[in-house]
Amino acid sequence: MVTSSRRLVAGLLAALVWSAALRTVPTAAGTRTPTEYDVKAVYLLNFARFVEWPDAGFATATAPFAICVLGSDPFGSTLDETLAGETIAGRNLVTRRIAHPTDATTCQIVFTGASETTRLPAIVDALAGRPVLTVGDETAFTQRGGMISFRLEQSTVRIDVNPEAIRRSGLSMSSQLLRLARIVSAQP
Amino acid sequence: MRRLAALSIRWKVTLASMIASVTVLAVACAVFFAHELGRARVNLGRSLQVRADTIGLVSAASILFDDPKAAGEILEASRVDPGIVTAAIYALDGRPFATYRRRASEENAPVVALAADTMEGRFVGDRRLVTRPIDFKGKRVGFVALESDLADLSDVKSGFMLAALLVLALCIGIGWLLALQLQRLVTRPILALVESARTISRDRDYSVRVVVRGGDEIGVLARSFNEMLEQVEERDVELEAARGTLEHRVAARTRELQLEIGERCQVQATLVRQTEELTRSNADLEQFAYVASHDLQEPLRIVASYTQLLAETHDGQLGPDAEKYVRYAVDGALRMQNLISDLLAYARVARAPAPPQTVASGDLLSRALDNLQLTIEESGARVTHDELPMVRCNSSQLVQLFQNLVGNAIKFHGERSPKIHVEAVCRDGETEFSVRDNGIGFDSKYAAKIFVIFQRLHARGKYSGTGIGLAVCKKIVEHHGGRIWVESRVGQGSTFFFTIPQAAPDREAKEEVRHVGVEAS
Repeated sequence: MVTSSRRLVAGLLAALVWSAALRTVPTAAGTRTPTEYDVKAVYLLNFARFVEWPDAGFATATAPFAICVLGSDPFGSTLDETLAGETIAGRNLVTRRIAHPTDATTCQIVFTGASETTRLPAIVDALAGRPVLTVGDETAFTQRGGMISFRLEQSTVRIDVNPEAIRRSGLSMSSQLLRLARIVSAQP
Repeated sequence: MRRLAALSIRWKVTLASMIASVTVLAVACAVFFAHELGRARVNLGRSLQVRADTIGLVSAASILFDDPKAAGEILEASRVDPGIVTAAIYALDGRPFATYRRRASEENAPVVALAADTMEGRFVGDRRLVTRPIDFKGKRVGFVALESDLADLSDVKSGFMLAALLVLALCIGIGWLLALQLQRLVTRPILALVESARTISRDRDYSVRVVVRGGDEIGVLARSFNEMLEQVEERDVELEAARGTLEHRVAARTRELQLEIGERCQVQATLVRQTEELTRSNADLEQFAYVASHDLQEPLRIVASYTQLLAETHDGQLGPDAEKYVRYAVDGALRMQNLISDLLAYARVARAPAPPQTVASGDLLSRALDNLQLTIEESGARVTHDELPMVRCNSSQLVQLFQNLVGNAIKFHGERSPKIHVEAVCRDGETEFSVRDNGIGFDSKYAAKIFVIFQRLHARGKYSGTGIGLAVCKKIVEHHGGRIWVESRVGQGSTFFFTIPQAAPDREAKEEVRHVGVEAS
């Protein structure tokens, strides 16, 4: 038993060292520590996996899955790099930069940067009743009618979810994701 | 082992069925146990795998959204399963994303070498490791590893042991009761048989019969036993009958034998009496003959002497008739003298006082031939003999015997000059002498007659003699305990045989001699 315990400890240490070496993100520029928007780009992709869209949300059966960035783009090239080659339920992923909330009706996910804070009600109104997942970079986004908002908690990216907004749009979110998120309801 | 052999068949049968059933049960329990244990191991592995898969499924989001706390909470749910010692969720890059320890003393996390070949569960010592990949929507997002101790297995083991022991005890109890009841099927008829056999051998009562139940081997045994008893009984009756007959026959035979013995005793007594009478009359006769011939000699000598004197002194003076008469008288007197002298010799044989001696029979023959010298010379006879053996006898009597036989042979010669040969052979404990001549011989039908006293085969005118010589021979031979006989054919000569026993003459003959001797004195 002593021998096997020692072996366990040794193996564990080896695993830790090995994993620490891998805690980096491979990019075109080389290996670097992931930034906040690297994480958020991955999260946007993950949202696509934990939320279900009705078929009516797509123009055609083979229409791509569009992730749109409304207004100024904080990701740079990260988002495109992250989404490259990925598919959602057989659909190709595409990124689009849009300027007006009305353009967002053909998107499946709309990311609203901090620059759009003033246009929030307009965005919400434009997409009301449509199966478009709205994601805001601002914590208050969900309180003001958005569906998901990012939040930084001790430099870790966390998410808030407004389930009511999601329900109204005809989308459904996995309970797994809901479990991880802080549930927020819209402020009147 | 010897104690087991002495055990009653009742207990043997019970024990045998008990041993068989308990053994079978134990084997069955062992097989079930092995099977159950194997199944428990497989189940444990499977349930661990299911649990790992469940954890993976639930924790996928927490990995994807980098929420170790949430993952930790999911792992924490493993606490409901006390068998899980440690658990861990690994990110795809291999770093431990969340861990769980049942107790603080447990190792931080199970060793997981994140390779495909370790995805199967395996048993390590008293632990079991299961590693499962976490896939979400076709994409691998991480791994989950569980480590379980085998507390469940040992629970299964001890539970099964207890159950097996209980079942075994119960079955031994029930089996014992059943065997006790069922053994009677087999043992009751056997014991009945044994009881009957005991009764029979104790009371010797062969009329007892065993009750035969069923046609199995014991039934056959019982029937055979009964048949045997029947045979014994029949034989007993026959034996009894035979014994009765036998006793009856023995009694009858005994009676017959007693009668026969009585008759024989009477006959013997008569015989003894007659023998005594005969012996006495014989002795009286001999005494009479001896005394008579002895006393007759004296007056006869006077008659003979004076008639001879008369014939010599008055030769030619008497008339021719008177001379003829005187000659007749002299002849008669001489013949009577010979007769008396021969009779005396005959009578003396039984009175011989001399004890037997061992002598050379050749010497005795020579003495006989000396006595016969004149006769031999006159007749021109030639007497030859082989080598003759030593004999135990009364020598003067044996000389007399040779003398009579050789004299006889010379006397009855034919026209040829007599040739006489004496020889002897020893056989069967006696010496057989033979005296062969080439004389006139005689018809063998007279062979017995010639040994009787006063019996003559020829007219007195042709051959002189008193007719006593051979009777004397016979008496001498018989006195020595031997036999005498003759073989002869007319004109072919005669051979006289006699035997002398090589042992001493039997006691009876001696007794008789003494008896007669005493009476004579």
